[in-house]
Amino acid sequence: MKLLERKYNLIVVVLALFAGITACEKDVILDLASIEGKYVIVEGNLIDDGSRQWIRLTRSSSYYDVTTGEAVQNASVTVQGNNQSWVFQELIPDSLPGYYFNSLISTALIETTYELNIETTNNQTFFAQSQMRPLPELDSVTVKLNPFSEFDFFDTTVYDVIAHFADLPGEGDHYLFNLYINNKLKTPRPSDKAPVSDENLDPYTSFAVLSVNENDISPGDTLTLEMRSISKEKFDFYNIFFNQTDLSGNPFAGAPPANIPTNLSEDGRGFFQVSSVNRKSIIFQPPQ
Amino acid sequence: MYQKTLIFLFFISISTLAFSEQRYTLRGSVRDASSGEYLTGVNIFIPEIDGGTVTDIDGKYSIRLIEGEYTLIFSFIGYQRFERKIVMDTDKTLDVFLQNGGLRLSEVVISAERTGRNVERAEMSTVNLDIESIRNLPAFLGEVDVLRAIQLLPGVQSAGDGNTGFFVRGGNADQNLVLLDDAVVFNASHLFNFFSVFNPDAVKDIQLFKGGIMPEYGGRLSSVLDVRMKDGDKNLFKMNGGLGLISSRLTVEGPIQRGRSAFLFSGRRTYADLFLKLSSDEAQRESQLFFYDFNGKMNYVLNDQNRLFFTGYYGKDVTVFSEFFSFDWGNATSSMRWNRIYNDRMFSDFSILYSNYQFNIAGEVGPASFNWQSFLNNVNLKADFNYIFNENNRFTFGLQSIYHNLDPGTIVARIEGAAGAEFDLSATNALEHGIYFNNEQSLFNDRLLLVYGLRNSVFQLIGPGNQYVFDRSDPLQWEITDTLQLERGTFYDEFINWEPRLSFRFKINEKSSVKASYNRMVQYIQQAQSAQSVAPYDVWYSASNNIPPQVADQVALGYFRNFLEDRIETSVEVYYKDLQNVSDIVDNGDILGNEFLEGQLRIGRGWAYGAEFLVQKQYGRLNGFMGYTWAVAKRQIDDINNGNAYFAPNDRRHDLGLSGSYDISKAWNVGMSFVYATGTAITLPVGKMFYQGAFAPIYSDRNSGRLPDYHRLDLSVTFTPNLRDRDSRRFESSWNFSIFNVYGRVNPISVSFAENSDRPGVPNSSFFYIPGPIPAVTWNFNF
Repeated sequence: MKLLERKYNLIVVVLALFAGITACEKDVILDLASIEGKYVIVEGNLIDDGSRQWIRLTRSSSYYDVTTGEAVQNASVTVQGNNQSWVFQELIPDSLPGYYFNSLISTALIETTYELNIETTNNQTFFAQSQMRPLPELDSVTVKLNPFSEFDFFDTTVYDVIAHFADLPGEGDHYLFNLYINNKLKTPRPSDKAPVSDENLDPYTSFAVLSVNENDISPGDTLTLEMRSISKEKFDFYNIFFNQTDLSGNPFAGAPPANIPTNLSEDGRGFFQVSSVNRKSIIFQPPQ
Repeated sequence: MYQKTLIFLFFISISTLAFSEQRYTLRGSVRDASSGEYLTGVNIFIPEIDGGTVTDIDGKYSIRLIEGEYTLIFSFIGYQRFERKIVMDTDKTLDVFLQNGGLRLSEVVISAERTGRNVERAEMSTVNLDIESIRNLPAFLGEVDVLRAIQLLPGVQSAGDGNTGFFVRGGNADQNLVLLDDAVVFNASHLFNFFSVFNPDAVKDIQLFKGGIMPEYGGRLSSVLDVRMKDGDKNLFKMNGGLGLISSRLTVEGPIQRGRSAFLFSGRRTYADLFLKLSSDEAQRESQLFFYDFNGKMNYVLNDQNRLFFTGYYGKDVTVFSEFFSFDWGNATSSMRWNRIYNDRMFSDFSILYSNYQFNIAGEVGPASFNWQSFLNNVNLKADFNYIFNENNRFTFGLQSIYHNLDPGTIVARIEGAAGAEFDLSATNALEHGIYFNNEQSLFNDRLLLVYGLRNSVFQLIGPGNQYVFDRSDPLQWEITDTLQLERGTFYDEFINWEPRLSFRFKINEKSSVKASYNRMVQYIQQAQSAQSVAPYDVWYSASNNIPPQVADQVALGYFRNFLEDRIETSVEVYYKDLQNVSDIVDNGDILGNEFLEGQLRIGRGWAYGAEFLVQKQYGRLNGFMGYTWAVAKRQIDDINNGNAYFAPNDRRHDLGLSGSYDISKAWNVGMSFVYATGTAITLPVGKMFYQGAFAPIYSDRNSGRLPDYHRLDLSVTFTPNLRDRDSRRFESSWNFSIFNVYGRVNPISVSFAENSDRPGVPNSSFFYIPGPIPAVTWNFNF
């Protein structure tokens, strides 16, 4: 549950509730055209924490297909920047099809622009650029009772995770927050994550970026907040992803259907982002 | 320009042809004998000249006749015919009172034209609706609604279930000028568009102009919906009302000074939310969802030359979700009109009009709160003059000035301990002026009727206000580069447009005519449209340095033919509309509370064409109509859909409306309506992508898919157990039983493409729809 990091999120969500009050919803299967396999979906989010990095390639599937899409295998995947080049390779073919790994790039990443080049076995080529942006120090993390929980708005107790950091000078910086509990990522999906723009941030911010439900955390658990630098385009990508999925078709709050933007060249989808990352961990104790 | 001048001079020269014979003016008014209310659109037929006239909106008429003896036949649906011989040897006045009850009102369904008038008059693409006839149509939840009735007619498309918005000939819903006694109504809907703001008990007359729009109207591209309120009974106190499942209404009217002045007050309130009190869920018990509205009107006959009218409307919708959230919105309008008659050839109307629309979204939970208030204000000064040169030339001219104040408001959101946000959306102030003339000219013994006019409109933005400058290097994402703040009183953008309006009617014979029209319309303010949203957070914006005014040129051609002594009327119309400077929202544009909204819009062109067919039977125990429209509406905007043309959201290839009413006996009446329309053009997925464990749709070209076809059958039965004699004053009541969507068709409001809520990760699609069938019962009374 994120509250204000998306503009008017609360207004939109509450308006969306009216759809449930006044209209019925019925599942339907529509006769849709299909461009199965036409697009290559690139999931590339590289960070500078020294760990092994990966880029995932899949193909688009027909809408009602329940699989995650056909893996793109045996492709040539390279990232260039700072006068260096890194090749991403499938390590054990077929064990993680479509995943391409590199163990060296993470420690070499600096604040500069990187280029991704992909060539598939059927000679499709894709290109993307991403600039690694600076990231402020994440000073500390605290937890407090969500203001709505004080009024029993939710059925269960919700805790807010507060990030304390000094925003970088000037506007135009964007950050992405993830939450880990006992080193397990609790915010894997785009709609779970908290993209933040510094447009309305104070110079020093103590900001409830994410929330956690009492059922998902116990006293003594390790709670880790991760902060990444992202581009404005990636910030927009996450907000639009939310609008086009969680609010899809809502007659009160839905956005007109449109494709989620990408920084990949033609027939590419998804996003390639190079980020700097900071993490802070605490031992969770329920706030009084 | 030279050619235009020549044409203009040609018309003027025709209109000033000298008449050698002695002519006299006959003028007067036509009123309801029991209430004293002036009747609009009464047909006055004079067999000796094989022609006649009709009363205007104030119930007045005037005609020039050569010296001689004439028979005047006054006829009006729902009233007894009145015949009178008159010798014209001097200028004369004849005021007529028509007795109610010439036909039982239930025998009248929608009259697209008064009897015979569809052939006679020059206007085409025009629809008159009789409020009494609308009552016989099946009503959604028992609430009689004028906007739903309009949607049954050819050329008018419904925006869908749960939506009183309507599209006219491929235009957007915001391109309809909706007027209540001349005052603009910005948002004509209640309860998230399920009902319209027009209380049927307070409405006298409705006219919809789809084309051939007279130059006295301006500011919208597609249509004018002119709703007139009842004046009130000058002689007797009356009360009527109704009790329904979800609402009740009450109207009182009567004389202030008998015979000279009258009042009418009408109010209604829904109370469906009272059922929420029975809920076991505390949050639902504390929720509210209702609307109320009031109409008031007073009119004074000061003397034979001067009359005053005051009209007011106030309506509000209130939505409270638990104790945490509230959302209310509403319209207020008021108008004051002074009608003055100078002599038997000239009269005028001076009006002061005010319109307001506002919404307020607010929420508060402990330390968390947000609030968004938005306003639209409009003050309109207007003067209209009618001058009758002779019986062949009616000249009208006038001018108006409108002050617009469009304030999207301030959005404040705060949560203690979290970053707050405050967005102050700058207001726009503007003046819109119009000056016009129009002449209606009869030629060749009324075989040819020409109507020609011109409107000049001027739009000026005035400070305080902001002018935005964008970097447009990325066509999909304009970046704001500068905001110029204009001081109070500074005029900073100005637009001037000429709007010619022409139409003609050629009478082939008494039963058939051919009509054609051309009109140019210009629109300076428009509403940001979200394709799917039905929520009433209307954001209007004006023409600016980034948004040029929209311009529509429409030509229409029609053939009108009556059968069986005008009992069956038929018409065929074809039209083509060219739209310049049409705007649409760029992919993933953010229109909700966006100060830089102009940067989300892209400008292009649009076009619409179609054919409309109407057959209707007006009299007898069985009556009704059938309207069919074949239409296309497209847009082409360079930065949208890769610059390729795409269907407008309101494109409907086929649209059929069928309505009928049958009197089983004096006490029992049954009514039905059936609608069929091609599904709305929407953007559908052609695939999906997986990213970070979630999928998202990949969409096709804009609006290249369709929702399923829309169709719906509604039925009603009206039982009037104690039908009173025409002249008695005793209590009368009736029961109306109706079923909306009899066979429970699922007509989607919108479609969602998201994962299955019960099975995460599994792609799903679902319709939002209004469930059916919906039965309703309403008890109506009057005494």
